[in-house]
Amino acid sequence: MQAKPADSVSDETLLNRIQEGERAAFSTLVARYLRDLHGFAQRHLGDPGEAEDVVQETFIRVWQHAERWQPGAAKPSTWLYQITRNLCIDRLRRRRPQAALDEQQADETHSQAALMQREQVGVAVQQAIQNLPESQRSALLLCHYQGLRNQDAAAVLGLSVSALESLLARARRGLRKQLQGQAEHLLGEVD
Amino acid sequence: MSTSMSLSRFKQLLTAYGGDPRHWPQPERAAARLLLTQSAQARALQAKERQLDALLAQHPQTEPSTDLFARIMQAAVEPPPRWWQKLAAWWWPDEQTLPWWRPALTFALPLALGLWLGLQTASIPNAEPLWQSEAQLLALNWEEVSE
Repeated sequence: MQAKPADSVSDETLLNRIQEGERAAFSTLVARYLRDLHGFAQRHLGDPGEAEDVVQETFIRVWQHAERWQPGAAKPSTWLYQITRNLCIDRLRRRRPQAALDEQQADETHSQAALMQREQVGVAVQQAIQNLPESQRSALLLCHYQGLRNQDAAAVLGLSVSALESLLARARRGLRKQLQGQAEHLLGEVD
Repeated sequence: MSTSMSLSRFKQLLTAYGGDPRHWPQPERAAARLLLTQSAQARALQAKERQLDALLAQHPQTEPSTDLFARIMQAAVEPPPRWWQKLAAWWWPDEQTLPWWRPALTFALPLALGLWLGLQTASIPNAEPLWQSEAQLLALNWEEVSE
């Protein structure tokens, strides 16, 4: 029988093999999710370097504690995002005093309306996302940027789909409020 | 799958998922698209949400470093620990995750148990001092000799 190409093997099979200590399966899983998890962590933390640390730690945990994933309990992708999110939350807790400083600096910059003039819309959006409460931020990142289905995003957050939709609506409302000034320059009136 | 959608549900959909149909839940997508063809109000609402979507699309995403994959594979060089290794690690964690009470408890528990057992066997209630027993025996012997 011919071996299946690594890309066609399901995540569940990969995790089963990782549970038995198979490095090739681990390598395939890392290659498959590296970019997605990094994107999520980077947008969650607003720091690409810190996001790399988080992603590395996520995969180390998967390798060392693969037996904690139970088939049928959660999709492998859900489990991976849950680990990454928890690690991001840990990081944010540890750096809270610095984050408060950053927010203050960002507010000052906002008040000068300098971000748009320097065409730093992306930075402004990133700051606005950083200012959202963690659960709203995670909901937005998972659905809008990571493209998870609403049931999967709800599973990562441990919520119902209707609760997820409520979080998403609040997140977008918060973003609109924060970005209103920038939007006028870029796209005309947002609200 | 529903073929029609109310405007209020459409609003909910937009405020949660934005104006891009690709982000809408798949089971509701067809009905939402149909409503868009029928309702000018729905189209106006979608246009408004698309403005925010356009801003969100400006959020920068940096690619991970080219060596991140190699670093992860290098860091995961040890095989997953077996259950007894995990138990040992729980009792005796490394310095980075050291909860000091675990090794302390490892030593303190047998020590406390030994002390308790020692105290239990050493303190026999109402035990007569040894000299009293000896004196009684001597007295009995004396009586027997004198008889």
